[in-house]
Amino acid sequence: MDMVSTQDQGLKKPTKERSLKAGDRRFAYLILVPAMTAFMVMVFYPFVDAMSMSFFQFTIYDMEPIFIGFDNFVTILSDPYVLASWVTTAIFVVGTTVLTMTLGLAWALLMHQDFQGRAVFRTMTLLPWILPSTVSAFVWAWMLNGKYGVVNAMLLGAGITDESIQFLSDDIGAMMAIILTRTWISIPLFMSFFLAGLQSMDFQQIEAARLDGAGNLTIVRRLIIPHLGPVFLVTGALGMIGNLQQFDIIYALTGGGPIRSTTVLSIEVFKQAFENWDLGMASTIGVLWVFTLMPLVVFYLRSLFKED
Amino acid sequence: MADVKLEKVVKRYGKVETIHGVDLDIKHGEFVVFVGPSGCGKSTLLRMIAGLEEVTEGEVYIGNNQVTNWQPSKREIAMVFQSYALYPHMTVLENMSFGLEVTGQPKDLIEQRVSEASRILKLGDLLDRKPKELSGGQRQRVAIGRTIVRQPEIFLFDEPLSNLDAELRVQMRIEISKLHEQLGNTMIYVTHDQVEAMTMADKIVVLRDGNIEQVGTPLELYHQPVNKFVAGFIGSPKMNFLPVTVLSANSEQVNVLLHDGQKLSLSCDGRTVNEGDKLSLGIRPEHFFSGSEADISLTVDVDVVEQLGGTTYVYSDIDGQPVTIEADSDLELVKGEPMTFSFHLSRCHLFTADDRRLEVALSTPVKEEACA
Amino acid sequence: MFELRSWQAKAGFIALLLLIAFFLFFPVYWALSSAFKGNGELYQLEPTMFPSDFYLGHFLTAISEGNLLLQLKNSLLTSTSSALLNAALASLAGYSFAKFEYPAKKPLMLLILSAQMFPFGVLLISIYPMLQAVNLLDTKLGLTISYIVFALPVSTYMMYSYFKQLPNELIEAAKVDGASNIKIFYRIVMPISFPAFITVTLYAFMWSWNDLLYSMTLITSEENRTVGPGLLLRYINENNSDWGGAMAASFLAAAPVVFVFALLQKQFIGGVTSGAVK
Repeated sequence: MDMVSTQDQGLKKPTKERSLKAGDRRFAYLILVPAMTAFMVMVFYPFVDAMSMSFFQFTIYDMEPIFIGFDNFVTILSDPYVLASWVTTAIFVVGTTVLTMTLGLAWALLMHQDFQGRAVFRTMTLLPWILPSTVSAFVWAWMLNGKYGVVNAMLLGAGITDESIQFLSDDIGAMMAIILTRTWISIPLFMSFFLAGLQSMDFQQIEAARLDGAGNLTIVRRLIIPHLGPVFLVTGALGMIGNLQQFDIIYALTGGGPIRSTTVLSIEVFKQAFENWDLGMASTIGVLWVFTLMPLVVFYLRSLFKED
Repeated sequence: MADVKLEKVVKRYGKVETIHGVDLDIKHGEFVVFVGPSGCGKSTLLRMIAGLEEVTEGEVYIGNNQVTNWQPSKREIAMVFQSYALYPHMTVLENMSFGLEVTGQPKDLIEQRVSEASRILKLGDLLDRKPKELSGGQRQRVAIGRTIVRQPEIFLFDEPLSNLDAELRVQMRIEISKLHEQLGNTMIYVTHDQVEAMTMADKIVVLRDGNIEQVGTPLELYHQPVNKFVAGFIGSPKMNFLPVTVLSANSEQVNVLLHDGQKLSLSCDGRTVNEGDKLSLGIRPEHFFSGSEADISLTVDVDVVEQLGGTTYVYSDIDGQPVTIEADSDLELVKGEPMTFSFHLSRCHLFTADDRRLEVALSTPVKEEACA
Repeated sequence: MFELRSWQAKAGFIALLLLIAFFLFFPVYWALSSAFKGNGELYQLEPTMFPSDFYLGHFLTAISEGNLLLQLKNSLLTSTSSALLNAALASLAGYSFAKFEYPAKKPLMLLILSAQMFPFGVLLISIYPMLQAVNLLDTKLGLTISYIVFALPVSTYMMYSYFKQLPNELIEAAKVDGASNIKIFYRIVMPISFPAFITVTLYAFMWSWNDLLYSMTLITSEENRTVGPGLLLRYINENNSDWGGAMAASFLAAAPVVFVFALLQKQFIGGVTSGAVK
């Protein structure tokens, strides 16, 4: 198709359309079409559409969305419930991320050590992650049951408390429950991240430090943690993004209650949209949600593309 | 016929130009080697001939066709890559037949070509193996086999031997040379190893920083390098360069002063140099004699002695310039002791400060030597 | 890595190991053991560690009453097909990003990846009426398509980083051999990248398999209901007292996937981490 007949050879300069890689570029665009279409229809358009809905009043009583400018934003900024759920979200996200990363790192360090039976432990570690959210929520709800729960039985047996704790019907208890359950689910993935980071470490460095007389804790503090520094940042961002998005566990475990004590932004948007059918308000809270996520996503993407 | 011609070929990546207008003619059946240090553009040039790299400006011709924008598959070429690039999920047989298969060749033709190629390359026993089950040399053979079955007009090799150990490299070098004799096709071969260039090529193209420095037969490059770069690149160990100062010069003769005050008279066209110019006197290590029987004698202190058995290399320096001397192996040399050696004026080359070699004076009867 | 010569070091290591292992694995054990306890044993103030008699009643009712098996089938169907669809789209897009140069490449890639900034709950606000408009609300197809939202961005990046480290020479060799771009993709690139394809499929599968939000909102009929909302609706209500049944049903719901992962886990751990963090 790019043939040039012998008569005019040397006269034709390569033009853009006829250049060697034009076919490759066409192919590259072509194979991008399916994913881009799916993305545009299922992600980008819904996003823009939902965002623009924040300028409208659109409830179950309205036939058509009514443009009301920034009224929704004025409403939510003066709504103590919305601000409270933002704070609840922050507590949940920070608590879960910190706990997950601490335990994930500890578990990765343990799983990096060569001991008999390690393979079994490593395989089993995946378990919490592959259970459906509802199942995980059930498991923990049953364990934390106020009357027959094994956790209460253990606490009572150890003499830590005198009476059963009603975890799921108590403000703080419910928050603890969702943090604990979400942490339990997330540890496997974070262990994998940290384990990958540990495996990329130069073993001779550790041996050299040991010859210099460094002990186990010194090695963790002075060598391993600095080495994992970049991994901490990226997995931290990733973990916070995931926790900010979290809905399933919280909904299945507490439904946002008791009262509103575990109503994070995801629950709030869901309730506004699919229980109150107030789409305008749901979208407005969604905007607040997006702006909370944005800096984390930007940070994560920048660290992914730093080397490209 | 598959002549290859490059016409003012330029390659730019964004604003960075890596090939600066290269012209080159390759005749049908020639074995041409592109040689140069890494980053000189030799691989880019080969990839432009292959059609794997876009040509920013200029044209590429194969045979009578201007193929600048043709897809690789249309160019009647086949290529052996540095990493061999064997398809890891296919057997040797599938690797070799893939090219014919995807272009829709009939089954019996594929079978016949593959069996012929595997006979030439002695791959018969390996046809059912996957690449990861082969040794380095065997992988190399399969990579070549994959090119042979396609019966291309032109074979392209991109540093094909650089992943092999020294012994295998020599063996494959000979096999590729034999293959060229057998098939008689045009072959273009890229390497950074001047030994490969010298031993295999009909014609060597020396490249530096995206320019062709010199094109010629191996012996032309050895005896008449156009500049210090080519002189230093071709030949091993490298040519020595001694600093000299011009005393007087005319169209037939240049008289220079060596560091120790000896005057040398060389038959070169010296019209472009003036009295007082600093020049470099080039002499290859193998053109030194132990003792003082040749035209000019020098004495240095021995720094390092490397005894290879057949020959001995002596390292020293003259006026700050490192010097390598190939000496008789039965000579007793002691580090730190003085050593006298000599050379013939006919073996010398003179290079100017702006890196040109002074041409042999027209009246000189000697042809073979550089500066007589 | 650790030097465990002294008994203190050994004891510390084992204590930490047991502590976290208890946190990770005890809940699973407890759920399983509860599933085998009769109601009498289940609802007593001092719980027993082991089921005294292996009571299978909860399992039988979990299967015979309600639609657990239908829901499981729906879940596996929607999750598997959306995972495969997702992996196919991600492979094509990832290949385009990894092995070709074109001006719009970087902006498009950033656009797709920035989707992590779009909360799934917010997208659902628009996806719901959209599916309604094309009559896909309360259908398995609608749910399958919606699940693309979860995993496509990260899957694309995972395939991209896998393809990125495939040697260019392999593709060039096929090109010189005369293969078209399409043939190179399905004869050379995809067969070599099969492990990555499986990893991405599993990754996407996990997203939809774990999902509650979309399946709860987009599916309303009993016949299309998936496992997550199914369990929730059946066991969490005003008088949620059937914990034995909930544990047994949970175990049954989780079993098939646990089995698949047990087979594939080794490759999966490596695969997921190599994509998300450099």
